[in-house]
Amino acid sequence: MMLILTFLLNQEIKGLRYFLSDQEAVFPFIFIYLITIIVIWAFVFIAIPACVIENLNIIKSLKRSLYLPKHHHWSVFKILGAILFLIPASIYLLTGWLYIYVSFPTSFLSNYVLFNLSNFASFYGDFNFAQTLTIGDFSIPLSLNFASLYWGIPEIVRTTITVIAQLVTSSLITIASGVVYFNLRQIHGGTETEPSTRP
Amino acid sequence: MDEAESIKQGESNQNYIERLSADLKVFKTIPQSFSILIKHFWTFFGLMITPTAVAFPFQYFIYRILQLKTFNILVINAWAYNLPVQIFIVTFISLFIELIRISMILGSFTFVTYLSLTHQPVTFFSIIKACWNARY
Repeated sequence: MMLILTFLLNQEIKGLRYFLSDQEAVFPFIFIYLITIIVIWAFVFIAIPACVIENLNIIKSLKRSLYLPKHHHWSVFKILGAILFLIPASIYLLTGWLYIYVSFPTSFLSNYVLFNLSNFASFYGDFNFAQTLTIGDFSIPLSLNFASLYWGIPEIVRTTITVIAQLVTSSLITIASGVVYFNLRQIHGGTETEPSTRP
Repeated sequence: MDEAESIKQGESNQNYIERLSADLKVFKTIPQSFSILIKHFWTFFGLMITPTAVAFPFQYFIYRILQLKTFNILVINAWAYNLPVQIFIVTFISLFIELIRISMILGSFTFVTYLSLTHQPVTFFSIIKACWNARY
């Protein structure tokens, strides 16, 4: 099913890109695709902790993951969504803004000394900063435009931010699955995680 | 614990319903995960780096070996240096190594979370011990 979805989405993206030649047009489709993935993921979210802690086989751990969060699937979905969307987005926004405002004065000074910064501005000019402050040839984005923050910074900084965001997100997802598993076990009265068990 | 069992253990029906209807709180789970990540940051870092560092030479040499002519002649001569076959082999072996790597990371992360939540000491030996005990 995922393969079919991926194929259809790719076709859709290609078609849309061709037809509208506007990258922002694919965002709703990517959003729907990601929501579908999160919905499926929410059902198998605690399969790994169940498998590791309870020593279950594949089918049993998947079943456990399906039935243990009974009545709590919506919460699991919210947790997954928050980690997958909000945390990377906040990392990108914070680091992007920090980069722009930390680098701006030095870039502005070097504009007239080392190289012409207008090349930089014209190169990234395609992404249409929504509200910009223009001083000389240089313009910095003032609005919370995600695309301009992401694409408006050099590739090396962008890659570093992406790696950090991915590491934090993947670690948090794994830890959260364990925490969700234990919280659910606690709700069902199956495990004791109170300080009384402190050795 | 099902209803009959909980009633047998002396839990009132009302308590049972309240316990089950307790929501899994989003704003409790995420800070809890964050605090575990920050508290045991270097442990998680080490647990993520170690399998990656072990897997990397294997993945690298698989790519390098498949580029050698002798290996091509020996193994995939029948396909006459057919590129998709090479890609298939590389992808398959790399995927296998990647799966082992990810399984190790996921398993060890779960153990650290388990040890942290049950207030047990999170040390190198306790993680190894937990992994060792989980074999059965």
